[in-house]
Amino acid sequence: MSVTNDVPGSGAGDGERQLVEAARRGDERAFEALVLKYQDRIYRLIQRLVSGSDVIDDLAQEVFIRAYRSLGDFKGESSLYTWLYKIALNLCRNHYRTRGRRPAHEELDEADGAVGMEAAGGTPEDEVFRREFWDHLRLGLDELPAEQREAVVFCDLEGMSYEEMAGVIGVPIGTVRSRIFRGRRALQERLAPFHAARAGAQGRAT
Amino acid sequence: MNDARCEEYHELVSAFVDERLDGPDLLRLETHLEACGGCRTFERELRHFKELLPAVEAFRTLRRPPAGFAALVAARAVREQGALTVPFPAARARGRWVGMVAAAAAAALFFAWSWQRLLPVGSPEQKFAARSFSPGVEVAEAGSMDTWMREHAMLARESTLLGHAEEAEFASFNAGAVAGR
Repeated sequence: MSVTNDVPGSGAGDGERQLVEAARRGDERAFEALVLKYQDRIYRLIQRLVSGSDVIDDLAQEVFIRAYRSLGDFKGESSLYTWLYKIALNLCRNHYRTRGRRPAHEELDEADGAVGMEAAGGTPEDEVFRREFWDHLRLGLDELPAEQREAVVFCDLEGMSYEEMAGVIGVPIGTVRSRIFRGRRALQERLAPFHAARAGAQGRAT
Repeated sequence: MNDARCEEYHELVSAFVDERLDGPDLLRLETHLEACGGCRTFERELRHFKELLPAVEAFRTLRRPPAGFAALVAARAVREQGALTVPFPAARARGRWVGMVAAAAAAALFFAWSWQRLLPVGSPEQKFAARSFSPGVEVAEAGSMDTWMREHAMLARESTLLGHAEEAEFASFNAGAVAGR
């Protein structure tokens, strides 16, 4: 069964609707095609919301298992990806509730950043900046209240619209707007010492 | 101008950089920005931050699903379909009937549990109560009472998430009835 290139966020296309219908009837290949289509996005979202590489596979798998169980309730009014995001968000929230939030100051993964930055090119100073900025950013995200972290991740990293966010998070658009603002401001404040130190170092170097 | 009122404008600036501001709010903010250097700086910093965030994250190595992930998950999902507790629309009528039987079993379970708690531990009455209590088909299929309870607790959370008030209430009752054991 082929998969059409429906644009995520634009609602389910005909190809996707057919896959959903087939999966509802127990067609394993159809459901596999749906998982294949969205697995990268779900993996990425989970890594943005939850620290700790040991749980990513389990959480991602659970997202799709629960989606399959509830496929009968998917009406196609929203896009399948936002519906999957809703399930993923709920599982991530359960995870950081049971773990007592994201593990702030968790040791950064060995692979987290290093490989990609080396491959990114640029001057050594650029690489150092990106690495340090990312380390500070990640710790800053860890320290945000969950609702603000989710808002920043959905808006600035996932590129979702306010309407999509309101649907996934289950709050009014005004609340979405407020959470994005508070999250961004808190992160900026968290990163201000890093920028000041960097500016100071550049000043001394010239 | 850079006073306490700027705090109010900062949230508008955040929506402004997302191009989500219009009407009177947009007019009000644009008027303020013309006069307030502090808020213009805030706008500039916020735009920079919004661009920098994904740009920096792009160099992070995110893990990707392992090979064969989709096939494994699909196989597991279909295999576990037999143990579904949230019925598909076609099965809802049958689900209601099963639900009524399960509700009766849960009520009997709760009654037996309450009675047991009143009896001295290890008494013949208690043993009798434990022997005579039949948890029903659902519990037998689940393998154990604890598993059955956990499944219902999970079902309650899922049903709440999915907006199935009736299922959520029913599952909460089943999970809660035994949770105090």
